[in-house]
This record gives sequence, structure tokens and C-alpha cells, in this order.
Amino acid sequence: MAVADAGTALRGNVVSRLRVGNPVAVAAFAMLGTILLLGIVVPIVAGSGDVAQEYASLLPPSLDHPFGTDKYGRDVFLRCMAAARIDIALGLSVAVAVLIIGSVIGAVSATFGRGVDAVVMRATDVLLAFPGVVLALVITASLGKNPWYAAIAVVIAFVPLLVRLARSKALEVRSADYIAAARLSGASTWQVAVRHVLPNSFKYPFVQSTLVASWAILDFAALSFLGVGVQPPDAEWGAMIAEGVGDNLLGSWWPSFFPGLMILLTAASFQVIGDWLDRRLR
Amino acid sequence: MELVLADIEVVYGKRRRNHAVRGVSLRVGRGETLAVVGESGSGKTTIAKVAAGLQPATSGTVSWRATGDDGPAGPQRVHMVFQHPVQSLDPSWRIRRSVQEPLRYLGVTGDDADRRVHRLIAEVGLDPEILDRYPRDVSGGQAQRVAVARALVADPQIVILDEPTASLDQTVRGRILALLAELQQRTGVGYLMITHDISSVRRLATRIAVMYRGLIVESGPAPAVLADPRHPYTRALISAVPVADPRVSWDGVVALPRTSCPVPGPCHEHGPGLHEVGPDHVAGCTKADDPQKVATT
Repeated sequence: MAVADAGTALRGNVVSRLRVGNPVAVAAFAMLGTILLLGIVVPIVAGSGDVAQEYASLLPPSLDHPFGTDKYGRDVFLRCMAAARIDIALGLSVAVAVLIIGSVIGAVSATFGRGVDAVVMRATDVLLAFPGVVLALVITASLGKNPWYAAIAVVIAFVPLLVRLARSKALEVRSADYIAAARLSGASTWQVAVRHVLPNSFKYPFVQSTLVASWAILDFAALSFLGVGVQPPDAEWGAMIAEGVGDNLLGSWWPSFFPGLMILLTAASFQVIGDWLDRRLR
Repeated sequence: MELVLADIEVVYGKRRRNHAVRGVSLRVGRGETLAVVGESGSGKTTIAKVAAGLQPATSGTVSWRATGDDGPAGPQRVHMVFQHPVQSLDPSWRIRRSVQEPLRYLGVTGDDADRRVHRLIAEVGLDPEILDRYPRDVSGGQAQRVAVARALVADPQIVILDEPTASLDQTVRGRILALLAELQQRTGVGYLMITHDISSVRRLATRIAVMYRGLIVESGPAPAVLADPRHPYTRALISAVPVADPRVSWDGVVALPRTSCPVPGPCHEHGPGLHEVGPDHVAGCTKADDPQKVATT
């Protein structure tokens, strides 16, 4: 029931205002949609082409191989598209997980206050004391080399940011007259948190989560670049840059350039969408 | 039911130096309107919050006494209408849901709740069509009518009105006051009205308590206090002379610290205390017994 309440409020408050776009936002949506579509379709059509070593090594970009081939004779375009699926999926998964966990903890912390708030704030202080990517690196190194462990590590690194944001917005909402009215109506602290505080403070973490998606893709690529994320021969943009960086020094720029370009375009698209959402929902 | 506040004290600040309310005792029952009047910073909104249970008192008690056959007494029979009507409605909820909210926590749902909401919306003079709107889509006057409907939907015994007309324009203000009076006549609800607007007090109050710097300096039946104010501060309020700074009196005399009266005199030495100046009419001024002296203060 409580989840349904929050859902209804969100439909009224957030989704109703997402109608008209601007050209830059439309371009960002189009870019992200294209990358995602190619990331889904190309690997299905190409089968295991992203890991197949069936071409000459280090062929420059051409009509046959738009992004060229790497030193193992693999098509860089196929690998970039295969990596798009995992990178965007992980970025979005991290953003959704961070949004839900951060918003709920932030709203509960602000609504209950006192001891609960103090414990939550000190925990976020500890986590925020480390740079996100360093914290994620330490966690991934402790858990083991696995892309999902890397995703969990990135979630842990970003949750404190959303907790802080959700809490500060929830504190604003908590002092509103309609919260006092709800209390007088007989709502319990939990009912106030779930029915009023969470839906009304949700839009700020929601906007922030699109930025988290872009940061998560960057951090995830960084972890793979450092060798603790996706493991070879599986394709991932950060891992592909790591593999191609040596070739770059020898004049073959394409094995590392195109994965880097994909990271740039994807992260920038999420950032633009985040800015657009911010303006629309403010 | 009677709402009784006994010897309420509220102190703010880490070192507990800021006395917002000092030893205030009030009672309000069904069918009557107690107006708590005073300037900004006098402690009247703090009293409203304590009475509503939204803020704990540092000391003193808030109690609810059953009287007659009003049913059970308790904090759940007390509701509130806020100063800023639009801000008192959840912006992400349709008005129907906001008005229904008190019923929901009483276990009244479905058609029964809907019928009661429609009846209340009609009683406050609104079109049922407004129920499907969001607070941002209604005017201040409409929002205050909705807030009154929400406060009354669960059949409360006492409604606290915290500056209910302060954010409304003059015409809407008159209509809301007329509505409150009519609803009181029809339902017998009691009002604890917090205001600095003497014209609202004249229209609605049966009794008046005047607050100054956290203390009640005069209280009594509305006609007696309005016609024959005994405390100099009450006189100033009623004659509508603005007193912007609570440290400065209406005649420019700066109050001494930790005193309740801005006029230097015996009150500063001993404290005025409240003493009877008429039937059920008390004032905290050593000169209050003699209207001539008050007039020349």
C-alpha cells in the first residue's frame, strides 16, 4: 500500500512534467537510444564476433571494419557494441540501486532524526572520506574480480551522496505544514516518511541518479581499466582502452580511441539528460 | 471535550535561555472560541503547536477532558488549520486524498469516506470538482476552505486556527471567518484561534487571552476585554498601534530584560501576576484595577 502511495504521488508530481524536450536533450536521448539499440542488436546479429579473432591485427578503420581491428584481430566496432550493453546496463542498475537505497535511507534518517540520523550521517562521513573510485577499487579488490562485484562496489561508493541529498531535501519537506497536518491526522512516523516525505523529496535524488549513471559508467570503466572489473576476453570499454593503449603508442590509435569515444558520448548523454530533468522538475 | 493547557513553559536554545512561553494556562471547550492574540514573537504560535501536540512543552501539561456526551476525549479529536493554506496541502496529492487523509487513519475508507468528503466540501462552499485538482491549481481562499474541510472531516472537538486568515486578502478573509462561525454554530466545534488580527477576534472570539513576551497579560470574555482592556499592552493592540520590536513599548519606553511589561514600574520588581479586574476577566498589570491609571500610562 505504501509503495502504491509513493508511486501514485510520483506519477502526479514527476512524470506529468516530462513532456516537452529541448533539442540538446532530444539529441542526448537519441544518442543514448542508438548506442543502447546497437548494443542490443549488433551482438545478437554478430553472435560471438566480439571475441572472435578472425581478422588481421590492427587494421585501421574502413568500410569493412568501421572502428578497425585490435592487436588480436577482433573487430573493435563489434566489441564496442557488445561492451555498450554491459556498460549501460551496469550504469543504469547502479543508478537505480543508488536511487532507491539512498532515497529510502535519507528519508528515514531525516524523518526519525536523533539517533538514527546521527548513525546514518557518521556512516556517510566515513564513506565520503574516500574518493569514490578508490573506495570502489578497495571493495572490488576485496570481493574478487567480477563485474557484478564492481557494480556493488560502485553502488556503495555512490550511496552516501544520495543519502545526503535525499536527507537534506527530506529535512526541508519534514518542516512543511502538510507534514504537521498529516501528523495531526494520525499518521505514524513511518506513514509520514513513506506517504509524504519520500515522494516529495524524491525528485532531487531522481535527477541526481542520472548523473550517478554517468559517473558509474566512468568508474566502472576505470575499474576494468585497472583490471578488477570485466575480465578479458569479454568486451568492456575501460578494459578495451587498457588493451589498446600500448598500440596507441605505436600509432594504432583506434583500439583505444573508439571505446573512449563511446564512454564520452554515453556519459555526456546521461549528463545532458540529468540537466534537462533538473530544469523540468525544478 | 475540553482542551486544557496548564502552566506551559517552552524554552529554546542549548543553554535554555530563550523563554518562548512562560507559565501559560488556557482552556477551550466545545462551542467556544478562545482567541490568543499578541504580536510576532509573543509565543502564540508556540502555544498552538504545544496544544496540537506538534511540539513538546519544556514543562506543564496538555490534557483533554471529556465533557457531556461528546464521545472520547484525546489528541486525535484536535485538528488544525494552518496560516499558509496551500503549503498545508501535500503538493503531490490531489485534494480529495488530502481531505480523506484523517479518515483513513480512523479506518474510514471507500464510499463512506467519499461521502463524508463530498459533504464537507459542500459545507465549506466548494464545488466537488476541486477534489480532483492539485493544491497548485487552486486559489489561497479555496485552499483554506479545503484545509477547513480537512480539519473538520474527522469530526474533531477542537480545531486550532493558526492565523487562518493572515495570508488571505480582505474579501476572502471575511468569507473564511463567516464560514468558520457558521461551521461552529452547526457542529459545535471549539476553536483555539491564534491571531494578531483584532478584527478577526471581534468576529469570532468568545474569550480572549493576550500574550506578551511569552506571558498571558490579560484574559477574559471577548466583549469585556475588547470594550474595557485593562493591561496597557491590550489597549495598544486593540487601538491597533503597531509595536514592531517586542523590547519597545507603544510609547517608546524600552523594556527591561526578563520582565513581562514594557512599562517601567513595580512590575519589574515583583512581577505583575494576574488578578481579577472583572467577572472572569484577569489582567497582569498593577495599574489594571484603575482604568484611569492605565489610560495615562
